[in-house]
Amino acid sequence: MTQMIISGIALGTIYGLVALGIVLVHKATGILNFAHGEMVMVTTFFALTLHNFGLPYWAVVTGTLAFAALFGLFIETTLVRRLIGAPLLTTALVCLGLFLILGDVAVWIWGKDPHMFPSAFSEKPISLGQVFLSPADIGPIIVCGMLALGLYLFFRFTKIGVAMQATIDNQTAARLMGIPVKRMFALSWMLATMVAAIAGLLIAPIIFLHFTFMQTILHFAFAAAVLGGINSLPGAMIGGIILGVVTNLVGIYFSSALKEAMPFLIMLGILVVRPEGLMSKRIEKKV
Amino acid sequence: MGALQVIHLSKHFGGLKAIHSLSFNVEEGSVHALIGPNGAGKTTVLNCISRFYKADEGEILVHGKNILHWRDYEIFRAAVGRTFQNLEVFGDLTVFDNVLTARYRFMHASVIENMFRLPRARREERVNKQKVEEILILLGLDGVAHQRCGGLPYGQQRLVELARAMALEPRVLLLDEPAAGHNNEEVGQLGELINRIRHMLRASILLVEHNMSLVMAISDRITVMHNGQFLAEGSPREIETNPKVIEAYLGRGYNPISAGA
Amino acid sequence: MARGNLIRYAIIGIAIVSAPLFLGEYFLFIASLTLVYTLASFGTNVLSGYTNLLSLAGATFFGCGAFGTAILMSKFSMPFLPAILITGLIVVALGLVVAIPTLRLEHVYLAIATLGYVFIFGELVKGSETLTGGSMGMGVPVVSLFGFRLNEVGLYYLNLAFVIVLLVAGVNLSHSRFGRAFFAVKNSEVAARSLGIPAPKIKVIAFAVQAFYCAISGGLYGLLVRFIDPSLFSIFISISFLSMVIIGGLGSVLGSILGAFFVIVTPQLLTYFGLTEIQRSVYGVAMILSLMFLPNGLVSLPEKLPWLRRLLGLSK
Repeated sequence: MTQMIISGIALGTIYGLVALGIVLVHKATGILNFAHGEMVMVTTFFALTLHNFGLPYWAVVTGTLAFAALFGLFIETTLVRRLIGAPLLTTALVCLGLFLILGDVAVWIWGKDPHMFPSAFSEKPISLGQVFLSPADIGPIIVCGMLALGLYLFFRFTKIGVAMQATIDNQTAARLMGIPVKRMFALSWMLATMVAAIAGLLIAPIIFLHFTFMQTILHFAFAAAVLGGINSLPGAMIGGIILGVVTNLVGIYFSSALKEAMPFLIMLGILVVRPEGLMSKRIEKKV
Repeated sequence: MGALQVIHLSKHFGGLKAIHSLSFNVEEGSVHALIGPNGAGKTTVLNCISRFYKADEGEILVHGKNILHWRDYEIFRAAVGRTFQNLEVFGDLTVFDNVLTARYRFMHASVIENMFRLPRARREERVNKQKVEEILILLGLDGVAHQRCGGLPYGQQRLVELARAMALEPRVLLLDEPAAGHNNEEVGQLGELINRIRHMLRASILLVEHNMSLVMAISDRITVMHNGQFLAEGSPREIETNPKVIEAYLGRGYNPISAGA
Repeated sequence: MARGNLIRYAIIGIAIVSAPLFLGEYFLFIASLTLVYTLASFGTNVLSGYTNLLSLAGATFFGCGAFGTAILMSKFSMPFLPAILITGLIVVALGLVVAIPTLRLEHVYLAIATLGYVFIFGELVKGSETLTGGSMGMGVPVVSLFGFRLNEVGLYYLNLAFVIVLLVAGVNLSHSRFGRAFFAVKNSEVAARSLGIPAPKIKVIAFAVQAFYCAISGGLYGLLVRFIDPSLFSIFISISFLSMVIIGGLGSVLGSILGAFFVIVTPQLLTYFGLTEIQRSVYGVAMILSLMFLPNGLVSLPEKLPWLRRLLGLSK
């Protein structure tokens, strides 16, 4: 069972990472990016291409992160910029449109076949007393942990991070303080895409890389984001971990069909009971 | 027993106490004004009565019934109407349709009956459209009835909001700063209009307002709020000359204008 | 009605009714498909266009409508009309199940919540092999009406009849107190509630309308294509319903028709030019372009292009 919990946490941190990207974008720009999964997919395919050129793993990672930043910037400049402040129906549909476009672009460039993707960690299990763990199980947890810590430090202590946080919390005040708000939006998309890229690098070794591979994961990621609170960055990660563990346990002790339905059920449950999630504050509408 | 009774109402937002143990009574058929400086909590009181906010403590009775557990729209179906401080008219609809929308609760034909234009649905449409015509004529809006509401001048949009509230045939009417956006002459007309509405509908009115000429002209009683709490209550004359009220709100330079001054 | 308009409408009407006479089998199929999708488009318009509720569950109702009708007809030997109507009612009940837990949710959350329904029902259908043929799908029997088996021409008129009745009913609904309530809830839920409009109930009704129209659309679809499988339960289909509404025009009957037409015709054109693979992205691009430049849909084109207005003979 500990095995299951640990792998649940590993899986959960990955969901959390994807959710983090979604929450980051939502907090910064108010947009719910339904195409986030596809952006993960595209950056991961790019990584595959770099890998197929024979580049060593660290070069693949750096190259992909650079690509992700540019890709995020591109999307932000062409589409997102016009969307800020638009009604939900519009932004959601634009993101859905993006979802469709990216899907076809990926097929056009990389085809429809599933691919294997190399892992950063070895699969060989090490025994720690009762439990057999491989670096592949713990690796994601460590990476996500470091990433979460890094982001925390970034938002708290670096000049840009603080500025971004300010823009997120109160756009008008930030603008009045001379913070270039538009640049902050661009930066947050770039950051979110880079986070997405890392998530992809962690996920792809586990499931085959395929142009639809993010679709179910996106579902899990949304559930994690909602569980943690759609406006809470730490919430995304915590939501992901809870979701990962619960899903794994349900899969063992109940049925695997129920396991598939978990994100959906958890999402519904949270939305009905406490829509703002575990970590967000309750908001009352002012008339 | 009054038309509207507010008893020890309290509401806070986080650490901020917006209203603290406020009580007042709107007598049947009267105009009762709620005044006080900005931020005194007046609109919050209206929002608690309309159940957009959940009050933390206290009771609110409409014609003797405690409405604290009612849903907001249930209150408006029970013949309470209100206007808003920030205009909430449907800008893209015509004036006529805005007011017709308010007649929802008087129509009972089902979805199916409406889809196939069965007799009951047709009859209800006819009858209620007639009613809307009458209300628009009363408020002088019949000339712009089929114009897009969003394109009208601010003052007229406020009248549309009033027309909509009236279309509910309320027995209790909550007016949130109806004089905002009107000039002096219009305010005078507004006062007359409110009186006429009061008599036509046999309604009781709770008026939140800053414009003292309107308040003094039509109110029967006035409650003054300050910092979310009760400060004073009385007739217009009493309030105008109350030193605490002058200190907190009216200001030393205020010239009494109520009858008997 | 002005005489010029009357003639124009009469010509369009005659053209529509006599279409089988001059359209070949393939084009008649396209026309029938457009009619079928118009129903789904209109239903989605009521939910998302009139009432502004973003739901991705449309494919669920469509798929259930298709499977429900097919199952009642083939496994229970029910004649077509009762089969499709009963399925419609069952799917409405389903729509209520979808709607009620999500009532208090703000837009964002509603969209996310409805994301999952399509997956769940897809899995359910895949899992019920005996009833639905599982992942392999099932065939749909040929429909008979009053003892006559319907061919493509018959199907065309059947679809036309359904569309006419349901669109007229839909237009009546949009001009009734419910239509006004939908708009009110969309424009300002606070104001709507202050007028005594029970917003939750109105939202449920909007869901029920979408459910019914999508179900009927699904049922008719099955009859037309003669074979259905769980791939009907896809997010892509839900998105294409929404795209019909956006591209055609939110909150407009003509918009629903135009949107359906666009969404049907595009893949056919693309196949003709050998570009089938980019079908999804064409929808995506069309949706995005629509949202950016033509937010009120194709219906608003005459407003923006004077030459088009003159061409269509529409006065200002």
